[in-house]
Amino acid sequence: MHLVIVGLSHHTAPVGVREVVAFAPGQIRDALRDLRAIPGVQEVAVLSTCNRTEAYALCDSPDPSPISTYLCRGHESPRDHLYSYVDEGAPAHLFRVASGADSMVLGEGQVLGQVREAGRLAVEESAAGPVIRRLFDQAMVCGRRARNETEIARGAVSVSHMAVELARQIFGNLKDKNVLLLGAGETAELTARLMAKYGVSLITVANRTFERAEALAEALGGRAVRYDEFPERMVKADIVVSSTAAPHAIIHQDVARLALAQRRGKPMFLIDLAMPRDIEPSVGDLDNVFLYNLDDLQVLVSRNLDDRRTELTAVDAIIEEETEAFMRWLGRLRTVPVMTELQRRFDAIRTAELQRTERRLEGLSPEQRDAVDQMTHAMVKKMLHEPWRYLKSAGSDAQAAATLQAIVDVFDLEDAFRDSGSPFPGEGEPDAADQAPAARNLSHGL
Amino acid sequence: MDYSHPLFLAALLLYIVSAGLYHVPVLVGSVRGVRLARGAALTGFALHTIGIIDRSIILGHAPYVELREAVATIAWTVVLLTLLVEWRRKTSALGALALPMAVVMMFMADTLPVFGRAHPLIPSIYQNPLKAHIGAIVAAFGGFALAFCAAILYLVQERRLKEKRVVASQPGTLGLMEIEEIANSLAAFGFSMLSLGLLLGMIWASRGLWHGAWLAEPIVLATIATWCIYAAYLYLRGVRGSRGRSNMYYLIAGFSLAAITVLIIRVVLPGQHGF
Repeated sequence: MHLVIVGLSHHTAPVGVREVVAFAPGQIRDALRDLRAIPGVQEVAVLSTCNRTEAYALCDSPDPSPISTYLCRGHESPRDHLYSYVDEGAPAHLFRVASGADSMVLGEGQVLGQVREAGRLAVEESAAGPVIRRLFDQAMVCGRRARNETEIARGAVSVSHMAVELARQIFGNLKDKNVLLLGAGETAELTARLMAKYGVSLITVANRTFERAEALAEALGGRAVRYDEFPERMVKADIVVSSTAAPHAIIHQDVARLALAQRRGKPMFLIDLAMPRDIEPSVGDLDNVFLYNLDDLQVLVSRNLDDRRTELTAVDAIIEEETEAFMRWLGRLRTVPVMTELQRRFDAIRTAELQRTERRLEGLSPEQRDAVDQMTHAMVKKMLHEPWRYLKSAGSDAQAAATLQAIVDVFDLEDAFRDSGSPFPGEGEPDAADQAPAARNLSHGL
Repeated sequence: MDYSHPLFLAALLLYIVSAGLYHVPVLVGSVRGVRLARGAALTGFALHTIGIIDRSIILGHAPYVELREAVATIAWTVVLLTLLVEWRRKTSALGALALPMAVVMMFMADTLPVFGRAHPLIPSIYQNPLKAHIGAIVAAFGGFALAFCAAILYLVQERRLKEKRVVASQPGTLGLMEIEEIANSLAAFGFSMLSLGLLLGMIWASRGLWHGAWLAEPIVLATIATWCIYAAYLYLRGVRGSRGRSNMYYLIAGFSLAAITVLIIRVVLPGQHGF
């Protein structure tokens, strides 16, 4: 029984190839059904985001080619871009993805939600059994730990988030702050939207074409004003986001000085996202003015990204820990059915022997008979106790697996599993209690 | 009178530990250590409080009738206000400056030879109006000290933002304007306490219990000058609506003058005033 991952991501494939393999949200359920129908595939899940498409499967063989073939869907081009991870490599990879360590923007938070969604969908479609379920649950744990225990998700990593972060460092709470939007650049709009989310009290939009200003103001829940009014509007504005297409600076030092004098030293945050710049650099020399242009913001963003990169070692340690924990769980998952089978055999021997001695026990009273029955039962239990304990506490996976195999060989249990066709008979799984009936039935049916 | 009390010593040590821990986030740039820092400050504060109560019971007077006792009680007030502000504002920004300041005050109260000299206590110090007079001024100085810390924090953060050397904010990071508000409320608290203290002193002096012109005392004059600085600041901010960096200079000047009053004028120009 092997865990197999096949997929591609922005690391290995250009967007032209990624879109061939990607599943639209509506197609994932079909994909799950198709993959489950592949002979030898027991459980599956599909993770499809704009940067990656990956199939997670529990298969009889470690050969990833049937899944690769399905993902290519008749195209030849993706084949060279696909990667695969088998057994222990599989959880390690998913945990890395969930931690954001494999993302285009290191530590981004969206992927965690996408992993949760992929797991949920697979369970809903009854494509995921206990193993894939557990795999995705633990990926969520790992992703959260990476974000809480390391600083991989710390600091703003986009220009608009950086602008908001700075605004918060200047004003603290943005709730009663006024924003003035000069021009209607895309990043400026994004920044204003974000600030609206943080609850700024008013967004005023001034643009050369008034209609554009009105449209944007409406979209942002703000107010449009005539473009030439902006110098007066600056008095009330705590934050000015400028992104006009003007060929030269529009906010000169004297304009800013005038506004500041009326603001009586109340700080002002000026964000110049225009190219060429809208705000004269000397404005930044004025007291209580904080002027940041596009370059300044980008430098801060790239520094934050560098900081996140240095956290990768710490994240890797968490991934390793979680992978080990998962593999241990998987090992135990195999232990239970073997031990159950062994107990069944011992019990069969006990019952058979009791029946054989039936005649010689005739003189016993029912109470005495009961005592004999209980005594033999206890014998079986005690004989099995030590091996059970040993397997539970077995150190490495390899050691546990070897011991388990030895037990299977010594007591000739192989037949039992060959008959049922599954090493996971379902009954007595370590965490059976927390698994949904659907998932349990699924593994019964295998 | 020997000032050292085992509980004061324990409090001082905990304040030192806390001051160091509060700097972990400043140096490392993460919030690790802040909880421990606050825990150490809180424990130190509790021990300090018990020490003060114990001492007051033993000696039978308020914990600030002697100058060095008063300085130690100002340190106690600084820690109390720091813990209050940090709890109310859910922040950990002030401790890194306030705890070292409390440590310096405790240290001075205990070791500096200037303070080690025993002052003969004038009997009038035990009268109630005078106790209230000193108590109010001790509280005022505590408020001013912390307002001073907040002003320094403002200037440091302002410089960082101006020079674009910002660090990613952490839970508990304060915005510049929030620091300004905290500084302002502390200054307002200090100012009202100082006004009360001065008023009580004047009433007491004008009752004829003071021999000579109390207004001519250097320490009284310096304290009135301090009062004027804070009055000017509060007028500018409250009435004229002034904000920003220049306001912070008033808070720094005000506390500096207060500290000079205590440290230098008291020693160089000793007057009839108790301390």
